[in-house]
Amino acid sequence: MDIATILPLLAFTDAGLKYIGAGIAIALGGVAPALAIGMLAGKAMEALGRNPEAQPVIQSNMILAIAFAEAIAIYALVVAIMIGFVF
Amino acid sequence: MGSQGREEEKEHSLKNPKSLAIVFGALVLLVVGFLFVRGPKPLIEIKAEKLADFGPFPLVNTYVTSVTVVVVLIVIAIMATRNIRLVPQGLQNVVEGVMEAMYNICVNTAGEKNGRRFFPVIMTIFTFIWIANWMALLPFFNAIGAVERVNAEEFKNQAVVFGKTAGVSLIKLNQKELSFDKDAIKAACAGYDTPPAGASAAEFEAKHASCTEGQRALAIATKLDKKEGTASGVAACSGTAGDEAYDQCLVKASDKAIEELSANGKTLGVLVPYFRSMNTDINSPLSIALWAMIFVEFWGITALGVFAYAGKFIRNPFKDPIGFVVGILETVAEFARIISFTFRLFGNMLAGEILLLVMTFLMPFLVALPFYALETMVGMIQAFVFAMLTLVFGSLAVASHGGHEEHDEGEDAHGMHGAPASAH
Repeated sequence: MDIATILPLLAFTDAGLKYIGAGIAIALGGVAPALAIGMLAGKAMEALGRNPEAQPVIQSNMILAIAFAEAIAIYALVVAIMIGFVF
Repeated sequence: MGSQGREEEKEHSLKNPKSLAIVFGALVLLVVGFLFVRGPKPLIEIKAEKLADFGPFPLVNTYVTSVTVVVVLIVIAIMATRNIRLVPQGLQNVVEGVMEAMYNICVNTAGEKNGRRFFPVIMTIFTFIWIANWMALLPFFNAIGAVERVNAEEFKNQAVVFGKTAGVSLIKLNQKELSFDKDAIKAACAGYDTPPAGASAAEFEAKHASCTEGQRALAIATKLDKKEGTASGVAACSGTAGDEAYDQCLVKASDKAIEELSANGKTLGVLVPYFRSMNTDINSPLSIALWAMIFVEFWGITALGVFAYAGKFIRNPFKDPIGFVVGILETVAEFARIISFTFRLFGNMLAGEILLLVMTFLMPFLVALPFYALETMVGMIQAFVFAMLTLVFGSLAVASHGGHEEHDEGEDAHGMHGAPASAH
């Protein structure tokens, strides 16, 4: 029982590591954008509560900022898809 | 009053026979769909599929979609401007509403003069991406296409036996895929991965290619024999993987099995859809992003002059060392914007397409509906974000160093300023 036979049993094959990599890419890459979007939406709600008349301005700026934050999550998703299906 | 409330409650609760019937019907639909009418396992292709060749250029299905989008936009424009009235009605009303909303955003963000200058480009980007994203939700996208015959060399990791040999085909429901284990094949040919020192690299690569082809042929032939009852004679081949005679024998056996299939009127193939969402091909968001940034630079240069605009990025390191570094970072950021534009749109659209395909595969009826709603929303929002970001970058580009050039009268009532002053 040398290391060359043990490693595949632990999913440390090429394919196993590839899928683990894809999973980690999207899992870690989704944490910060989710937090960012939550904070953005929270602040927008706060602003809306203080000044309901400014609703269209707050809403469109919030959507713009959320798209920025979500773009990072999308980069992570594209990397995960590429690792999983292209490599 | 109390009894009226209770009656209303009874109408909406589950005790009402009508609601009960609807819920029961939905459950039956879900179960029947899951057990009997399965959707196809999605074959996820990141590259757009080629339909034909026009000389040196391949015609890909996303290009067909983009031409369709352009034709649709031209038709809408012509129909909305026939018999123009001062008080708009019908299609003219809708188009005017959308244009006016975007025009107000442009003018509020970039000021009166610059807003008018930027508006055509912003509006084009918005409507092009919006109509393209929404068109991809039509039912025939990704579902109708040509059957492409596979052979051992170009076998993607999944194919299906179609009941016809040529022509237009729909996605097969309840299909059984012929998939093979890419990793098992990689492991079988692992001995030819890296050439040992002294051996010629080209010869080794040829052996690796032949081994992979042979292993794929072996997988196709054995599966076809098992599932379709063809007689490929693959068992008669003997040898080791990488041995050229053995690999040739395997390829011949798989070709024989595929020929036998076509003699029976079937094809082993993949469906190449005629229409695919335009922005799932990375070339499309990339080209729109390139043109958006070209326009931003053009607006900056025409507003400020070449030297003043270049002076924003290239500053004298002796007089202004921090500004020098900031200038370099801003130059890099200009190019990073192209990448970010591209991947934002591409990633959203690709993820949406894969999500819809996978949801339909998991549960064919009803479950994909909320995801359709999400896709609709995301399609419009991504178009809006692309256009808005181009507008914001444009208004930043025409701002002269250290001051506001443009003031608009509505500025104090609205949150977004045209050109925030730069760092120093």
